[in-house]
Amino acid sequence: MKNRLKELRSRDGLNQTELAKRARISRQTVSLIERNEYMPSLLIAVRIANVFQEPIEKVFLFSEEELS
Amino acid sequence: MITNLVVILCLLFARYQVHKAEKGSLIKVDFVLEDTHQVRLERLAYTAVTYIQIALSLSFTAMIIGFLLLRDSEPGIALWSSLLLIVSFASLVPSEKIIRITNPNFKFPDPQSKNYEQEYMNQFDDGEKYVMLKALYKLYSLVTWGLVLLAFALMFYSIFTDDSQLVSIIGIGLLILLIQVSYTIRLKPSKLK
Repeated sequence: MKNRLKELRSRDGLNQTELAKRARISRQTVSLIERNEYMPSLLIAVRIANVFQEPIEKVFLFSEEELS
Repeated sequence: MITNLVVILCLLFARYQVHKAEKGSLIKVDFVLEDTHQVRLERLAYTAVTYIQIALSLSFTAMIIGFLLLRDSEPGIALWSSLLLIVSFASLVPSEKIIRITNPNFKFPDPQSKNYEQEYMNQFDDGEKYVMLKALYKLYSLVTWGLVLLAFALMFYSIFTDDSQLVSIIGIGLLILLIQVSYTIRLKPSKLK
């Protein structure tokens, strides 16, 4: 799974600390997700997508292989 | 005596790191530098905890050995170690300012609560739990292998020195048994209702 966190953060002018505050998670978690070291739970993924006002599938990108 | 001095130095260094982190948390930094600043504060907080843990472990070992070997000749050393152990333990109680740096959403559960442990764990988000899980799994392997190697080392020590370490070896064996069994029991799926 890939994600567009970094790109969307820069689009919305958010740093990791601010995104973490808005999504009510820790900065470490944002950093882990961004580095693809951790796949977030559905709840965290939805909260992050809500911060960017994007559908979840536009923030977290799955390959065809992962979904089949 | 030297161990006690090292413990004092560790505690002072930890206190200094906490002071730096607390002071740093009051500084307003530019938006671009906020993440770097936040990581620096988090690292300071964790360095402080590491040094407190070192102090705690050293003072505990010094107290035990001091009581065993020096309780008659130099009881002051064992007493000092005991005091340092209490101070180290008290230092582990996290200050609110530090918690606000490392875990901004953390709220201490009611100590009287029956589900204290569960409520405490619920304060961490999934990412933090994942990091803890990874660290604990590594620790589990390290402790298991450490105990196995220690038991072998004690066996050879007993053979070559005629100084039997049987009690320690039995203790280690029981500890390995407890760790392995309790771990696998927790992994076992519960019955279907």
